[in-house]
Amino acid sequence: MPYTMPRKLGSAAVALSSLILGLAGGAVSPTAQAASGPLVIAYPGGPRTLNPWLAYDLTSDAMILNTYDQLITYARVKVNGQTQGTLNAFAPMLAERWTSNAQKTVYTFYLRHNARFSNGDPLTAADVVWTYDHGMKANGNLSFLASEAAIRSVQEVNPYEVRITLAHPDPMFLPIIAMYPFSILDSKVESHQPASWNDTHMLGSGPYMLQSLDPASQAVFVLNPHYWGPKPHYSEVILKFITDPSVRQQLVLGGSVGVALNLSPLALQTMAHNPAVTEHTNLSETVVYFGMNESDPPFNNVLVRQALAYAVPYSTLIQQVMYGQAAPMDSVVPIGMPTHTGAGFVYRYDLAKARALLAKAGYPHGFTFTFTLDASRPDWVQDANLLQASFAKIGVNMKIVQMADAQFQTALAARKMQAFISSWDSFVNDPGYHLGFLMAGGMQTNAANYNNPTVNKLLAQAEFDPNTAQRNAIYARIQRIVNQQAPWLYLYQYKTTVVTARGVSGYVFYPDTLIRFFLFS
Amino acid sequence: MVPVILGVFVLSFVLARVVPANPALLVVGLQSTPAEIRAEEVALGLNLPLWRQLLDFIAAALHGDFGTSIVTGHPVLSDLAERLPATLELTVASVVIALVVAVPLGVLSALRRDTWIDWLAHVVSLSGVSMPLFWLGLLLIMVFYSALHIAPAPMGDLGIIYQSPPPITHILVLDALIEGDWPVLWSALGHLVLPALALSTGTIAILVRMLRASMLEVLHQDFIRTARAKGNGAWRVYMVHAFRNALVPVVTIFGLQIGYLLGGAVLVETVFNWPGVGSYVTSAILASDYAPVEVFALLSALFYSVINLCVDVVNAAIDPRITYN
Repeated sequence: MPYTMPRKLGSAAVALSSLILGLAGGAVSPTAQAASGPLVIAYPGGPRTLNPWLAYDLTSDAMILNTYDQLITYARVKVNGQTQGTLNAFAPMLAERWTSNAQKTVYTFYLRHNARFSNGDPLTAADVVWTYDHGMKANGNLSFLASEAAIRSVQEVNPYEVRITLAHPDPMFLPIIAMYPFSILDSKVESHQPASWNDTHMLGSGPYMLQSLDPASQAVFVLNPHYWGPKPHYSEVILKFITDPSVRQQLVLGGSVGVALNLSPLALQTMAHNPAVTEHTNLSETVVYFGMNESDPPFNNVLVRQALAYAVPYSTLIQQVMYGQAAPMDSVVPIGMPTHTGAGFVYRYDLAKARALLAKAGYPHGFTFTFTLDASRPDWVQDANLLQASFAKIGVNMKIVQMADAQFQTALAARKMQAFISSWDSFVNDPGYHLGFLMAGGMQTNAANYNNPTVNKLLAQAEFDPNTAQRNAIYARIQRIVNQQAPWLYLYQYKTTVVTARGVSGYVFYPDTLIRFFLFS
Repeated sequence: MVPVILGVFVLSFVLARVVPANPALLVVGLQSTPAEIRAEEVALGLNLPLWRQLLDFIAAALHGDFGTSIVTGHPVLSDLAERLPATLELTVASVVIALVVAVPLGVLSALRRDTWIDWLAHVVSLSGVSMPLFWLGLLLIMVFYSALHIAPAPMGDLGIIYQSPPPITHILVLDALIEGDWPVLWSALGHLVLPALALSTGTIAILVRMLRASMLEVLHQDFIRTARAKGNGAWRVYMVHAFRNALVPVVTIFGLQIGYLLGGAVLVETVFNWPGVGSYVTSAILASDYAPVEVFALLSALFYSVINLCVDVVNAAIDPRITYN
């Protein structure tokens, strides 16, 4: 009798448990990657903007590339039997062909006649001219890149012929106009909209069109009914923005998503031989480095920098932090970028040599410095701890100050941190562009404040040199100088791994690491 | 209530802006020129003194303009209004689970001290307060989705093969119920279970402990012995006399826990990719998108204040001895 109520309560609890499990079990949907279903791609975050002139994150850039067309695109080549994109050769896109004068200062592009925007508007030379003209006047990627490519004017010759004139021959011209900021916009619509319209709308002539977007959760793409090219295999593509890499891993292993990006190195290692997924690993051009501010002591002393370069546990970082998902660096220019050379890179893990150099630099007992850490990057946190331990062995005390990512980016732009870890991925696959941003004195992006008059002079000399061999020789010389002066400690160059679930094929790697989801089958 | 809400808002406004991060830089990118960054700062009003930014925001808010998200490009209020129903759905579901699990368990553990059910209550409450929400969420995904295959993929509030029913209440489960769309209802409930369960664990833990302690205290009081001596049955003694008197401190704590659920939803929504306010605010924080963070802080303060008011009213209803001047 005293326990009548407890029995009722117990029954209620059992009933609730059954209900919870029953609901969960009964609601399991067919996997997303069923043959007839949409392709679901798990991205680590949503787009910051949809505007081709302002986008610079992986999600935004990929969304734009699959929705818009450019005049030309990067060609696909066979490497070791596998198809991959190359940033050094080009294929027709909106322009069926193009020609240039002998000096390579005037290019003529012949547009295809069947290109239409997703609203049905025909795409003509007027749209190309409008896009380039307005983009070059607005703040953003297009205006900046157009000046890098020396574009002086863009003219309509006839509705299907565009002439672009350069201020001087520039080897970066074709690589640059194949990039997503040069996506052609619909002038008939855009001319009636405010500049910010493209931040939240997409109207392109590419294979897909955006059906819906919630930047915090997902974007849904459907086929552009007016697309001029071959119809993609998937009629619907859903990008899911899933912040946690462990969840992305579980989803691709479970087959609920067809493609997963940016998984952790440890996760990739553990699922490397899992038959449910395929890992597509390629070397990216993103370099991770330890910057030392040369404006102030002790890092204005080249011997100090060289000493620390001998105290970096290079292979430990790659094996124990990155689980092999990175390659060693031997130059400020990444492997894969033209002119890359490891000449002059003599550093290896040698604490005796590091101590000797420190003593020669006037720091026989070491020194203390402040290191700023972007705590949002798990590998950098581990790198910092390993470096701190290694430096301590030569008497160098590294005090770590942690920051959130947004705070760190602001500090990086201010160029006042004494030491830091950062990464860099050049927008343009060109050593002049790359070195100009990172090694030219006074550049805002040169956060280590490296300022070598010889390097500055060589960079200026190479910039307008029409002779490719001569230009390449200059960039190789700069790399040798930089390696000797060690303004950075080279940590590693990231590999990029895209994981596809069973049944999903057609992934093609491009060195810009952006996913062309219209190629999946 | 108004000073509390205003205080919270001003504090969150100032805190967001004193962090040395420049949203303009994040908008235009690191490769932009200083002139472009400055132009963006002017466009976002960040060049103005802090007090001026605050006054401008309050003046605009009084006219119903709570700013625009730099991530979505939409007014913050419309963004939040779109996502709030999903968060409310998750929060209410977790409250229901918490009550249905914690009340019987708390009462039973008090009535059957030092038996297996009491130990179970100890384990449940200890685990609930010890486990971080995001970790528990991942654990539930690994067990129920990856290993047992009995839970749907943690990709939002509905399976991707289903279309949401026409919005009536904007709460998916209710809309599916009203429309009689059973496949959608089933899918929505399935997607709701794990995140709601994860979110409810902290509340379950606290409620079980509180209810057990409160019941034990009441059960030793004289009026319980009197009630038994008068020949009342066990059900009446426990539910009408003991349970009701044990409820007052529990309701107070429960009110605080509901506020905590809103904060917890931010983490749970991120792990389960729930399309609610939490994942929206997380994206905004990562992008230094001030307006959504500030308005969320304002809403949270409002929510807390209203819940506290409700707690006071409920306590007065439960115990007539409680009066408020």
